[in-house]
Amino acid sequence: MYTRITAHFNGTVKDVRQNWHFYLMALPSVIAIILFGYGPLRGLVIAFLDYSPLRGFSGSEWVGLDNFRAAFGNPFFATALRNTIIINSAKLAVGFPSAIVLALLMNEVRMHWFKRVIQISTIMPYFVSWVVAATVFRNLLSPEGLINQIIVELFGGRAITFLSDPDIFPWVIVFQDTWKYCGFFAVLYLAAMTTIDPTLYEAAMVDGANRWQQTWHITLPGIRPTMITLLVLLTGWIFQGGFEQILVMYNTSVFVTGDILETFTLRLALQQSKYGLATAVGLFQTLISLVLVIVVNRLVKPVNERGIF
Amino acid sequence: MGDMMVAGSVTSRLSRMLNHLLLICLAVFSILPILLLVLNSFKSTGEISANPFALPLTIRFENYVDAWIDGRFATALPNTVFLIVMTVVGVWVVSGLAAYSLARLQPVGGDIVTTYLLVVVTIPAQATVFILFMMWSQLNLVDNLWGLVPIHIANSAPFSTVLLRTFMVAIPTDFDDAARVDGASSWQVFQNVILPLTWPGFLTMGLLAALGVWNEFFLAVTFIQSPEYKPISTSLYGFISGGRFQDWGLANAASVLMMLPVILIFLALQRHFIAGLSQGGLK
Repeated sequence: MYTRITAHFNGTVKDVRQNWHFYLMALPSVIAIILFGYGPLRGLVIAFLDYSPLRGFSGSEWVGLDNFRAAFGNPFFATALRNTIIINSAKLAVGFPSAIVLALLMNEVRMHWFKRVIQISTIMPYFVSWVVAATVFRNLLSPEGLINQIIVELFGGRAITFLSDPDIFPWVIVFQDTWKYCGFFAVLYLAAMTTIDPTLYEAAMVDGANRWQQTWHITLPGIRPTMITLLVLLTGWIFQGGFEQILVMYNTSVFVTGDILETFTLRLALQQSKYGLATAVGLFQTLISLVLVIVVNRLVKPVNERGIF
Repeated sequence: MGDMMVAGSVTSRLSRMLNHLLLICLAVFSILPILLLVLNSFKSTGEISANPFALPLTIRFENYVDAWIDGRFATALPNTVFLIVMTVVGVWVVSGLAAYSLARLQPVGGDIVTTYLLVVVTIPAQATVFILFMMWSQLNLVDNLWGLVPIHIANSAPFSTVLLRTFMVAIPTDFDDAARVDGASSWQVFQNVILPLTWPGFLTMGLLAALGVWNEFFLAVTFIQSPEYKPISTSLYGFISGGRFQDWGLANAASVLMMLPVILIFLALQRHFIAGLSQGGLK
């Protein structure tokens, strides 16, 4: 064991000496990661302090897990946690298959220009910021918006308050998220589909397989690695994320179903200066997400040979 | 292939038509809301609520002039451009070099670094933002555009590095060896072999980083308070959510002003962007 370690170490030294320019090249990013990736982690101590910016790190009292207890005991925390899980799971359940379906549909198109036009149109919303997307959706969904005009004028129905009805609001968020990202993810799947060996399709056709059977038995298995990679990455977003979208879309009348952990902590920190509490919630989210990503990665390993890491 | 398609012609043509119809619906679903935004930006508020889908009676360019002035675009635009230029250059240097050494050197723990970069992409910055804010206020970097630059670089660098690494791994090492035989140093190999072959990757990555900065809202709203330093996103948001929100035509015009440059750049470079995304994509 010892010899192996020293051998490894000697190898490393030799490696560094021979390839020092490579190591030099990696240096800026290593420094950047240490400074900005791990530097703030030192500050996670705040989660265990009764922190006030005036007293600083050393002057603030150590309170152990009190912040976590206070956070979990806060009635808004339970609501925010539930909303976070519901909204983000629904985004995953709707958005993930939508992108695959879009890519499969595009993959069947033979006219090159048509495929191009569809691809450009569907990826366009990806470039629209959440602030602008909020305006876009107000045009559609506000009481005087397009959809309500159609409901009222054409069908004589009653206007629906999409943006201030707590029962509908989460679905607006899920819908908007799918609108924004579907085309972008479809590009990734489409790219994976082009790498599938065409002889597989030829062989299937000789055996008399129709397009559906080819899709099911060749295309889908062919993009499985991409599907699994994205699925693992996206499960990391079940306990966090979607923050900017909610921030520009929500209002007090939809807090019941629209308030997520990030908006909850933002109010704790900015309006009540409870930095310790806010950091505790953030830490909780990060840890859960990390565990979730690792667990899901383990679960998919048998399906995907090696997982993504 | 041709024979099979002729054989099942009726059903296959029908399913192809259905397929195209579905795709057209999805494309319309994607761009109709954006077109509606543009259409409404030329109308007065009264016209929008009267009939949102009609063409404007008179094209109100005043909306754009007012939005430009009230949204303080003249000060916000240079701020955003500054952030974008510094961030993209920074990301190119940091990720380009890191990807080169990760792809070519197999350094000790290189796999761990790559995994870390992949995982860190899934963890948004919100958990550390308050702490970052406190550190930055001690360093006098709050309410300072220079303070946002390293945060933006650090946000974009992990994904960019992973993407670029994929590009560089795909280049045969024979190319490097050939250059080295001719006496090229590591830097010369990078400059004369790797860069010319991976520029679509650099372009895509630069576009993604620029897009991230242009649209970024949360960091800007947390770190920048003075109106003269606000980038476009927060300047626009302050204006839309402020007193004149009821003026829909104006809010729409301001939103178009923010969206237009991104869309135009994408349309000009879409071929390279989609190709870059496809090549470097998650495989």
